Amino acid sequence: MSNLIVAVPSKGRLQENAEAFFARAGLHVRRDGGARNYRGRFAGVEAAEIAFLSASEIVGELAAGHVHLGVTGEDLVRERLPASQGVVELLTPLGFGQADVVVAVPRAWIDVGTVADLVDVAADFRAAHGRRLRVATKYATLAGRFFAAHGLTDYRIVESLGATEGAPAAGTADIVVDITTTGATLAANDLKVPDGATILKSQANLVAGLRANWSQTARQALTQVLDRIAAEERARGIHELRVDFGADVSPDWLDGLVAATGSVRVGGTGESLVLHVPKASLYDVVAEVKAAGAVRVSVFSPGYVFEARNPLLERLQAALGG
Amino acid sequence: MTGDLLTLAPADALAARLKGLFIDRGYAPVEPPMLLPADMVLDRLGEDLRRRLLLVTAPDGREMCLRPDFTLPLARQHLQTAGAAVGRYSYAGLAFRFPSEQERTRRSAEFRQAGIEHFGGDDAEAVDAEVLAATMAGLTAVGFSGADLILGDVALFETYLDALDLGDGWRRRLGRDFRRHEFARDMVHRLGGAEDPGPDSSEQTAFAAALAAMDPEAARAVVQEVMAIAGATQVGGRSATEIAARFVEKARFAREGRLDQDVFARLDAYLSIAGAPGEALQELKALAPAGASAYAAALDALERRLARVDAAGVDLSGARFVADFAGRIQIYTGMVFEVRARADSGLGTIASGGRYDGFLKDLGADEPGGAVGGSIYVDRLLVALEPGP
Repeated sequence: MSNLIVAVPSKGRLQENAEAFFARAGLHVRRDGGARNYRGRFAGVEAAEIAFLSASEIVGELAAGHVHLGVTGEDLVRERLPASQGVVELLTPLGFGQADVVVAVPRAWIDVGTVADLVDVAADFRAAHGRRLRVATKYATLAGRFFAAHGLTDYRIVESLGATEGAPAAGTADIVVDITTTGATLAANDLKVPDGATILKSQANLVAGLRANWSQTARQALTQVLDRIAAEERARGIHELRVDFGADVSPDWLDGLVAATGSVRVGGTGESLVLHVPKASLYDVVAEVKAAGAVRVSVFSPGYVFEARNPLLERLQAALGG
Repeated sequence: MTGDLLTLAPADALAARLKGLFIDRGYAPVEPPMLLPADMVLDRLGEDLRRRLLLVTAPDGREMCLRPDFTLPLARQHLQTAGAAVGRYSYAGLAFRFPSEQERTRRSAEFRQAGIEHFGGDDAEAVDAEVLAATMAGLTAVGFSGADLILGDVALFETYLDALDLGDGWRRRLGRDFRRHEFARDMVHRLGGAEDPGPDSSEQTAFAAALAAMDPEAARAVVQEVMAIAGATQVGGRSATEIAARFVEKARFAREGRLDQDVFARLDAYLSIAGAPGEALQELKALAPAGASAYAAALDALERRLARVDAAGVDLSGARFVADFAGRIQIYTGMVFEVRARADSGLGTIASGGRYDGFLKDLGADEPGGAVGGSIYVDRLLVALEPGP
């Protein structure tokens, strides 16, 4: 099978957001046979298939080379694949699924305000309690790396199968390393996050699996998919301005404007200019061109901006070795 | 079949040869168990080793582990069979860890070690010198030369700290952090420098400041009372008393401020000492604070140890005493040493060891007993012995 295989979360908010992300780029997910079907496709891209899997399964499938692309959390990638080079490539963050992996301690530990305090407490814990500080977590790798970087070596990991944040109250651990979105669960369990104890700010990412069968067919389908995604992303960040002057425009002045605002001249001749302007700079540019004598500025929002170069594609091609 | 750079036979032969040399010096050969409870290994050697361990789950759910070195299974076996008696053991064979990113001599999870362990005994100084000399003699006998011998002494630094006029907070932190090699010097610089505001803590509240000025016991009682009022229950394995005591200690430590400049200079001077043992010894003596008898005694012991090692035929001409060297793992309590291959070989540590008293007690012995060991990484030694290009 040489089709491009894309792994998408099979249920919940992640699934909705992932499908919305693709739909925004003109890649509409079709799930033939209804919601129970674990396969799907993108309308309009023949040589691509979708595999609906759980977010954690997606990391495994990417690592094993069973899928080419996947939507999954950065936290899961960093936890399962600490040495991800050569195995997967994170192509772009997707703007949803934000959550932080943090170290949390009981709120009653009023003497622990920073990570340095925690290191202190851990170092003396054995002498005080006859055992090492226990850390409940599903993120043994991320936790281990973080602790090592801060000189915290006196601890034990307690693998957590269920509600990690309930472990201190249940007495099965002393502190936790867990993922949090609103912080409500932490608060409900009387836990707090000391200063500096955020291990990773994670979100959903589009991830490429470097070990998959990157056939010609797959690469072509990939180009179609990534071009649309890149084109939509590019368009989303800019406004297109058509600026009408009464007379010809001086090129030097224009170069200055371009440099100052990150705008790009994409066309126009003689008395009018067409610019692509970062959204945040819109009003600055309008003010500048009016000051320079512009008679009219028309503002459009393109749906897509396709360019010859696609940084996402280049990134992946470099990782695949051309 | 495993893609190793080395074939099996030469490494085994080298390991056996080293073991034979150790047997000749009176270290009885033992074959400790290969499989250990994972709990014990992680407890002793630390969680940051976990990813490199070969862990298996027994059918009854217990997590087991293939020995990552010989010291732990040997110590356990000694406790079980000989208890408080003196034990002199030699070993050679396989140990198991997944290679780190820096490892140059193997891709498989197996590696060979050969070495000695000495448990118990009355004359600690004699034992220190003997173990170091025996390890070095083993290397020399198989034709290894031209490497750096690094020497250190954890106990010496402890006596130096005791002799300085440090507050309790500083004494505790610096003593503890010395074992975390790279943090000791960092900490001294970070927390003693002119521009630094002081200990790493959040803003000192008025409450904390008031506590710092009170009698420590009374302060602790106040904090506990406040915690009780706020309904903070005993959560996460610490007690309200413990939390309150540390809260007060933090407040008092914050008030201690940064290290006295003179003390900082003395600490920095100590940690900067690195050089030929004779010279280092002179510099260490010059730093002796007035009336520091324990420090002077430890220095004398170090001097005697070096003399004994020299008399035993160990070539100390290329050796260096490095004051801030505490070994790569945090178990050492006294002498510590390491033989490093030349930097350009990329081989790293060829042999290491030291004194780690208290280890047996941690394993459940009734009495804290002496424990000294020396261990050789046979695979790396084999590569180091190969004729150069």
